[in-house]
Amino acid sequence: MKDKILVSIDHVSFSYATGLVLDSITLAIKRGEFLGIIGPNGSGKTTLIKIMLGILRSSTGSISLFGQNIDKFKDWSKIGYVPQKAGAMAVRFPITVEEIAGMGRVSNKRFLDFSSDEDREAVSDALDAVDLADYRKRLLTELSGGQQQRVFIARALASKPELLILDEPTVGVDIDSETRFYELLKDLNEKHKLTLVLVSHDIDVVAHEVQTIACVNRTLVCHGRPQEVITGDFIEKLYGKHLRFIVHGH
Amino acid sequence: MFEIFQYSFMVRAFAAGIMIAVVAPLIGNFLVIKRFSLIADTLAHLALAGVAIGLLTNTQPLSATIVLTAVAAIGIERLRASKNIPADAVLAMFLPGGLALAIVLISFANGFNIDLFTYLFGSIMTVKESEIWLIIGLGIATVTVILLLYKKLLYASFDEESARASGVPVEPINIVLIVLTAITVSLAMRAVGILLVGALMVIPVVTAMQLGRSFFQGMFLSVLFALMAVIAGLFIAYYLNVPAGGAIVLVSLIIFGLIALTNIRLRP
Repeated sequence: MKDKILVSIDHVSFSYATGLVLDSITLAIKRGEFLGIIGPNGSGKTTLIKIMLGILRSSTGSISLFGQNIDKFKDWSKIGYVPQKAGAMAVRFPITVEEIAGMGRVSNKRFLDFSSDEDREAVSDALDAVDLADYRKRLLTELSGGQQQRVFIARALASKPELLILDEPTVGVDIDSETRFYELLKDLNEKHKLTLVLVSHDIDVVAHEVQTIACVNRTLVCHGRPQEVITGDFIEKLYGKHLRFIVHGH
Repeated sequence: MFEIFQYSFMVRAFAAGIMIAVVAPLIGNFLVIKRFSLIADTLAHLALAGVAIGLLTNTQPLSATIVLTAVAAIGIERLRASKNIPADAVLAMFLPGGLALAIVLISFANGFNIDLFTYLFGSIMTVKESEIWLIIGLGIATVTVILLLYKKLLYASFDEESARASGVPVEPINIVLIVLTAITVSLAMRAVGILLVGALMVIPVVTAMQLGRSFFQGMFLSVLFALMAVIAGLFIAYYLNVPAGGAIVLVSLIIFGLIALTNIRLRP
């Protein structure tokens, strides 16, 4: 049973100087799940995943990752992270797709950083998975927004994670790339058996792509399968009264 | 044309210059990708205070400078990492702070003198034997640390937050980078002077950025451009009798200009 729950968040609260951002959130993420965390801007979604990733420390409550308390957890290569606006670079800087994907192999277990055959193979597999094998020697700044996003997914995949966490991954990406991007995520979830956590403010898209939804707005407003959760007063609870919600068919 | 090497002071100048030309841009690459280039100039102003302490206490200014800049660098990094103050504001605070400390200390040491000016504008031709060994020793140590921690330095400089999420020990790595920067600034100060240190750490890197096809290649090219600037600058300084620091920085700017121009013309 322990093995089935990858992330267990237990009554976690967090405050910035400006006030309480997360209020007693309890949530479990199961192996193989594709979870969408949604909520309006400033609702604490990003804070929640930063706590899960050990970037921020919760004020109260506890978190366990892969059955182990987060303070003792060392196996960070099991978790891949694609941050918001990952590595956005406006100025030409010479760094290649391969070099960025290779960062995913930097580990806390080894002191020295020489690439092994295993590292090279993992990077090449990761670039294959996101369909960028032909772009390995290209500079990041020569790629489109959608391609750049996939570079950062490749970086997260290079560590061979079991859990992949993506924060607003499609911001600034065109519609075509967005569609391909969700196909890629589905593929990673179904074929590669990767557990996925997708943070987004775009309920419409997320509702169609994920298996479960967690709605966060300081507290956990709702949690369940999209068709069960997105009903009646849901929007009102999450966003307040004055918002209309239209679900498009895909 | 090689009678220049008959003079042992010129040989020492070349030895120190070449070591600094290797180390300064290597560190500079990580600073530029971190968008933290101005740390070099900030530490350089603190270095002046280090020199003042050295002159005041009659110890070797280079050692005093390395200690002071390294301690200040750790303070800067701590403040930056706390995220309570914007990173550029931290630099804007320490830069005049270093200068203020230097001015007060210098007044105790009976004001400005020739010695101080050699640190302000560099005086690579007066590098002493003992300093050469310090420069070469610390230079080799710096290069070794960069090579050993290359990937961690790159990840933490390029994307600090993801590196932290991947379990990279970001805080210690940042401290290593900033202490290496402090050491490099102190060494380079002898060659090009406090006011020009930042130039040697940034201009060759920015020049290489125009051409590099990878971060690794960019690092290699930046060292190449810095070596060209230092060697050509020393020749010019010797034969035209101009200050070496100024000549080195001007040559590196000319290389940048030439490459930027051809690059613009080659691009569609």
